[in-house]
Amino acid sequence: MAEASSSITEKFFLTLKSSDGDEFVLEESIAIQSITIKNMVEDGCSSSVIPLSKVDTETLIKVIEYMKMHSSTSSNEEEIENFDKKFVSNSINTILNILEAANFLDINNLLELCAEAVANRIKNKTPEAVRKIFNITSDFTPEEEAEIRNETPWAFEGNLDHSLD
Amino acid sequence: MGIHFEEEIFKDILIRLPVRSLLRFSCVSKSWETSISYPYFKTKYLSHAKNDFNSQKLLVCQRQFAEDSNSNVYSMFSFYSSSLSTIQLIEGVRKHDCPSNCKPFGMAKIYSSCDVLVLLGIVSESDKQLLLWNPSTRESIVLPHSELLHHTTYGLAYDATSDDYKILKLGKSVEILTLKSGSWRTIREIPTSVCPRTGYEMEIRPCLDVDFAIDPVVFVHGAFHWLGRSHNYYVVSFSISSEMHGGISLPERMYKIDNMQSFDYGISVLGGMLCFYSTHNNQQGWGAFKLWVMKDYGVKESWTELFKIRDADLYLAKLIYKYADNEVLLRCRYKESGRDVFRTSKGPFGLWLQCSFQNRVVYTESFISPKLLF
Repeated sequence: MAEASSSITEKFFLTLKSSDGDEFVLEESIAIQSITIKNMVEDGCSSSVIPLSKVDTETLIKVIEYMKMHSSTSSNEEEIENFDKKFVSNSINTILNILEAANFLDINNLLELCAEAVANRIKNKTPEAVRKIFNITSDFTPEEEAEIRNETPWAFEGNLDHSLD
Repeated sequence: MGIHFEEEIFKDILIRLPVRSLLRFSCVSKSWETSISYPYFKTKYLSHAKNDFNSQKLLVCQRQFAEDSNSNVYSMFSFYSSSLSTIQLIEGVRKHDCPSNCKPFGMAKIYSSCDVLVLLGIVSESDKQLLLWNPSTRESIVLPHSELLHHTTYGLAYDATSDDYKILKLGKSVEILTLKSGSWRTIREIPTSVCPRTGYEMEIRPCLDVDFAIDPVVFVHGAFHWLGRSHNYYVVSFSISSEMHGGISLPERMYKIDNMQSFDYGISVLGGMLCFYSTHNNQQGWGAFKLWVMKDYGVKESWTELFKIRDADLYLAKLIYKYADNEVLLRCRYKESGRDVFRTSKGPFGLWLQCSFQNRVVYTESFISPKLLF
């Protein structure tokens, strides 16, 4: 009897609600990889639904996938590595959304993974492509821009990537 | 779709971009330019780069001989950098323009590096220059120098006490250049040792390697270090702040092996620890490389043998870098071919580098403008 009772560990579940209003039930031990959620649990906010107003459904699904893979004791190092590789092959916009969510939820290794992925994706891009990806309109005059380009012309040479993903 | 990032997330991305990309992205918008050129960002970028393996680059100087239309042979040099990854991709190799608008004719020697900055000498028919160079941003400055000789080497390090870079010149005497002062000073004090047999005080002179050059000066524990010799071998130190000499004696078992035909010694720094290495050869075709580290700085008893490589064909090996898994990168010369090659204990490294190279250094890719220091 003693053996049987010691093998039962009580599982707690949390309900996370995306900005689109969708609810997801997740084991507490998995969800507390997010320091933001962990703090909420410690403050006693876990009995009700946890609203994540800054994370949409599509992004939250990805974040939960990531947390499940990274907390599961059954997944080995190789599985995690392959998962991460596949994870960062999502579109750059998706990764940017996940990066924002990782920052809000305070999941440091997810933030690092996404920041590294974004840097890798944009490092060979043209300034024009970067502006489009980040939805930026240049506030330089053509003369000012030419001046910056002339300071380090070699940084603009070679086969640069014009694509937006 | 519009993404409006918080400043912090944005910096998490920027900090992971190569210097070349950041210089290009300075023209994306005024706010990007401000973020990239902000001094605090540059400081954060450097501390991230120091701990980032991908930001560590191997810089080599390669020497070639060419012939002009009158069949006169002349010497040329080029600089290449590559990642230290043992999986070498040809795309990762970069050829560098010669700094300071120098023409790549004559000889160049890479002396030393301090994080981001590289100290090198260029000797051409028309000019001799001592340069401080940041290969990542391609900026350089010309330093004053009295002479650039074969039996001279230079060390570069940062002195936190005076918030200044100091350059040590090691040849017949020791001289110091502080960047802010811009002038050389000779150090009067000479390192000496007392011979246990005769009781005489002897000067400790820098050791020459098999190519009759002084090995690079290394910096660890707030002092420049080099291998010196009087009646015995010593590691001579020179404190960057107090400008005083010191000495670390080496146990005889580390360098004395009987009946050796040739031997070569060197020192280096691995993971913040001073280390000593040797290559020994005997006439029976035995050859070995040994690496020792001083686990507690200044404690003679803490010299520990880290590993050895037995290779009958090995004539000379110089230590360049230690990886996180304790694998090391070496520059080896073999008796059979007489050529220098890079290798790790597992196999060859840098097959892209087919021609002979003169010297090399490891530096960190980051911003620090040498122009702002002088």
